[in-house]
Amino acid sequence: MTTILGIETSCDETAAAVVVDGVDVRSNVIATQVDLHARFGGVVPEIASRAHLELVNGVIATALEDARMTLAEVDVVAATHGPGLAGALLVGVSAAKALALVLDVPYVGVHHLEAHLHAAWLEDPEVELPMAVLLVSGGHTLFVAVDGPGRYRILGGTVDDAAGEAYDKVARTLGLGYPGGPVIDRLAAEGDPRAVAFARPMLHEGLDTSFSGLKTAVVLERRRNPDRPVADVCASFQEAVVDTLVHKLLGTAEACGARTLVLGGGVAANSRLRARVAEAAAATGRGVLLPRPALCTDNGAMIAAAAFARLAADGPTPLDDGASPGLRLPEVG
Amino acid sequence: MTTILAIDTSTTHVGVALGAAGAILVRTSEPAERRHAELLVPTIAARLRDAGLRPADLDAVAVGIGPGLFTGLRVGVTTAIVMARALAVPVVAVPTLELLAAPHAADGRVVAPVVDAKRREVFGATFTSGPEGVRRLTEDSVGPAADLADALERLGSDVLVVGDGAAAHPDAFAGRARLEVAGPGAAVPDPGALVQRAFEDLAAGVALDPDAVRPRYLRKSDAELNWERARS
Ligand SMILES: [Zn+2]
Repeated sequence: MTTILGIETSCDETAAAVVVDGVDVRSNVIATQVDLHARFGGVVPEIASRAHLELVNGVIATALEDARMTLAEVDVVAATHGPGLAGALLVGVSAAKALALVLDVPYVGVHHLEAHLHAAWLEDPEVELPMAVLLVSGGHTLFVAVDGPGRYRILGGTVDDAAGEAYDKVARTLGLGYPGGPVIDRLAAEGDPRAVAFARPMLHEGLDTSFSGLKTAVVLERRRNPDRPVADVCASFQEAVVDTLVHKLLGTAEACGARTLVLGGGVAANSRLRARVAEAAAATGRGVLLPRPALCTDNGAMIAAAAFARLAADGPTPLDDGASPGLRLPEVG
Repeated sequence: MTTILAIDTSTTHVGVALGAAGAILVRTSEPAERRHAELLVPTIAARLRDAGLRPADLDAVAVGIGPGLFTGLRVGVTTAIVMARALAVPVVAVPTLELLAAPHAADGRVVAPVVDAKRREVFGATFTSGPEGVRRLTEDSVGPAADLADALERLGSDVLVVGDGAAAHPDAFAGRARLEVAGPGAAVPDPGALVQRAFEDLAAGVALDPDAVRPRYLRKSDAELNWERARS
C-alpha cells in the first residue's frame, strides 16, 4: 500500500490530497483564491504566489485530517512542477521537497496536464481505452489521445486564447465580473443559443481551435444590438464555443479510435459542454466520462494519482529538481 | 541542548547553517543564480549529514524573512514553515536587514544594510552599532537607490553600507564622503549570524508558530499598484 500526498499550486488553487495506490482518494482539499483575483479580472501571479505560501500548510493539514492520517503514514510526497506560474509552482515544489526531507520519503515532481489526464482513472479505473480527452480551463485547451498511463498524443490545441480565457474576456465585455465561466453558463440557460450566429473559427481546419476572434465578435454585436438580452448573447457565445470543442473532440476520437470521450479542466464544469459531450458520445456509440468538478478543476488528488504512475515508471524525482513553468507533456507517438 | 536549522534565501545566495548548544556547527552560503528552489533542500540535507544530524533532531527552524527578491524569499520561507510544522517546532523569523547588520556590532558607526530590489530600487534600513550590539534606527523601506544614498548622507554621521545594494547600484553610492561601502564579505547574510540570533530569540522566548510567519515583501504586486493608481 502506497500513500501519496499530492500538492498542487500551479495557478490559483492551493490544493492537497491523500491518495492510496493511485486510485483510492482519501481526501481532496482545494482552497480557491478566486476572490483575491476577482477585482483584477484574472489571475495575478504575484498575488497567487503569496496566497499559496499562506495557505499551503493549512491545506496539507486538512488533507491529512480528512484522510484520518498523520504525516508519518505518508509514503511519497508529490507536487506539480510544471507547467504553470513560476512563483506559484515554487511554493508547492518547496513544500513537497521540505516534507520529503523531513519524512525521509521519495519526492515526485508531476506534470500538471498529465495529472489532469489521470483524473479520468480516479473517476473510473475501468474506463475503456483509448480515450479522447478535452482538457479545457482558463489556461489550456488541449485535445489528447490517451492509450494508457504515460501514453499520450496531443492532437490539437488552441492557437491563441484558452476557452476559459474567452469566457473571462466575454464576461468582462458584458460587465458580468470574474470568473466568466459560471455566470455565462447560468445566464445562457435562459437565453436563445440561435439568437446570434457567431462564427465558429477554424471549425473544419484540423483539430486546433482559435477563440480570440470571438471576444471581438461579441463586442461588435453589443455595439450593433445594444438592446439584445444579455442571456441571448451568452447562450449564442457559449454555443459557438461548445460547438467547436465538441466537434474537435469528436475529430480527436476518430483520429485515435477512442472508445470513450473524457472532459477535464475547470471549464469541464460547464453544464452545456457536459450535456453536449454526453450527447455526442451517445450519438457515436462511445462511452463518456465526465469527472466530478472536484477532480476536473486543479486538485491534489490528480497529482497524487499521476505521481503513483510516474514513480512506478521513472522512480523518484531528485531533490535538486526545481519548477519548469513551460514544461511540455511527455508524448509517446 | 537546543539544535537549530537556519535558512536564508532572500538574496542572491542560499545560506544554510546548523547550531547546537550555543555553537555554530556548520554553515555555507553559495551563489544561487535564481536556482534557490533547486539548491535549498539538497543543501539542508548535505549540512545535516555534515553535522551528523537528522531532521528529527531539530528544535527550531530560523529563517530570514526579507525584504529581498520575492522568488528566493518564498522558497526559503515555504521550506522553513513546512519543515517546522511537520516537525512540530517553532520558527524564529528574522528580518534580513537585521541579519546583514548583525556582524558589524563592533564597527561603531551607523550600519546601513542595503539590498538590491531591482528596477533601480533598494531595500534599506539603518542601525546603530556598539558594544551592546546593533540597534535599529529606522524601519525597513524600499525606494530608488539614489534617494536612499542621499538620505544616508543627510544623517550627518559616518555610515558603513553593507549588503549587495551598493554594488548593484554603484552610480548611486559613488563619491559619497560619509559612506563607506563594505567589501563583498558583507554583501549577503551570514547564516551563522542567523543561528546566533535564533539562540538569543529562543532564550528570550521569541519564536513563532510556523503559520504566523509571513515574508516581508515591502512592495505590493504590480497589479495592485496599478489598480490603486487607476482608482486615485
Ligand atoms: Zn489545470
